[in-house]
Amino acid sequence: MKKRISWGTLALGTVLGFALTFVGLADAGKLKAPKEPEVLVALGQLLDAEHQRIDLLVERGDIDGAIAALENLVGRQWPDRDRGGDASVLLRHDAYGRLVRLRLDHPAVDPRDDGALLELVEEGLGTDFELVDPNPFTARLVGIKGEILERMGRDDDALTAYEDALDMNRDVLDELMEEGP
Amino acid sequence: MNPSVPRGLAPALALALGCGGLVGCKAKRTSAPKDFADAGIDDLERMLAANEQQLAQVGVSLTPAPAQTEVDSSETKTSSAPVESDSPPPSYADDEAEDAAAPEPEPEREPRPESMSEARATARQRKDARRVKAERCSTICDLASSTCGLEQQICRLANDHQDETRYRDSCERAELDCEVSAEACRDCTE
Repeated sequence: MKKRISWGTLALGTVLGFALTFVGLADAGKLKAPKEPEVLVALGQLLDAEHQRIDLLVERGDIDGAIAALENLVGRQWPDRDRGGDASVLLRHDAYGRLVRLRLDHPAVDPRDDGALLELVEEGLGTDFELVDPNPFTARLVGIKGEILERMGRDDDALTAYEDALDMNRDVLDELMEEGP
Repeated sequence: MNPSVPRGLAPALALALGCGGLVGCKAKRTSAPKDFADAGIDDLERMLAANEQQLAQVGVSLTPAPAQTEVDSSETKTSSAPVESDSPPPSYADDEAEDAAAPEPEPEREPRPESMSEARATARQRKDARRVKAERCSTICDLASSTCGLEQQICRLANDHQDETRYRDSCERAELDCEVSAEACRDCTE
């Protein structure tokens, strides 16, 4: 029997693992806990199932379907930081990051112009992205934002986004190095 | 603020601790060796753990029966012989062979199932520690990969803006970050 670890489960685990790691590493309390943990559980279960489905679609080469599924996923009502805690923000960044990455890598599928993609990234980042601790998921989405800005010829803004993503990666690495082996 | 972690996410969390970027997690999707002969000890341990988990899911537990454990644990407490935590867990085949050879159970041998259990727990802990370390390394290396990707993007931009200090400085810093993170990855994996 083929034992398959889903991208979604891993991503979900990774997000929450990072969240927990940061709690231990950084000062406790930096990470905002969900007011409604059940909301986070429900979101995690939904994302796990959806990412598994998207894995299958990508494996079959159905990028159209994968993008449609991700569009449907990000189009849902996401819990805000207050209800779902920082972990829900990270999960949102992860889902949007996957969607925009797929769109950038497959521009011929259901094409969107750069302006629309930038809007999508901004929507995914939300207004609360600077409040969460540096993490690879937000960093990836911010880096993608830089990529789109560069395509749009907005080099100064692109550089700012790349630098922000770089700063986040550096912070995460510092935390991990402080933690030790 | 003490972050609460929903219990329902425990399996995902167990997967997660220290598991870093997505690329690394994806990279862990290695297929099992086609043949047991091809498998290293780590592969075999992974397969055993997976099998044990599958058996547990259908209600088959490989841990000693509770009644035995209770008796054994009370006896272990009074036993002067320390549990050798570094010794590998004995095989069931060995036990069967020894039981067949000994017509009557010797009192001092009765704590053995408890020792087995503890030895297996120790082995599992060691395996978990190795896994956490591997995942931490994977995280660091994924960060290095991402950082070096950003460095390429920044320095490519800097090439187009050669007369601008901000771009040049940013490229230099990105190069340094890439170097540092790549070194951390190397140190971790060596």
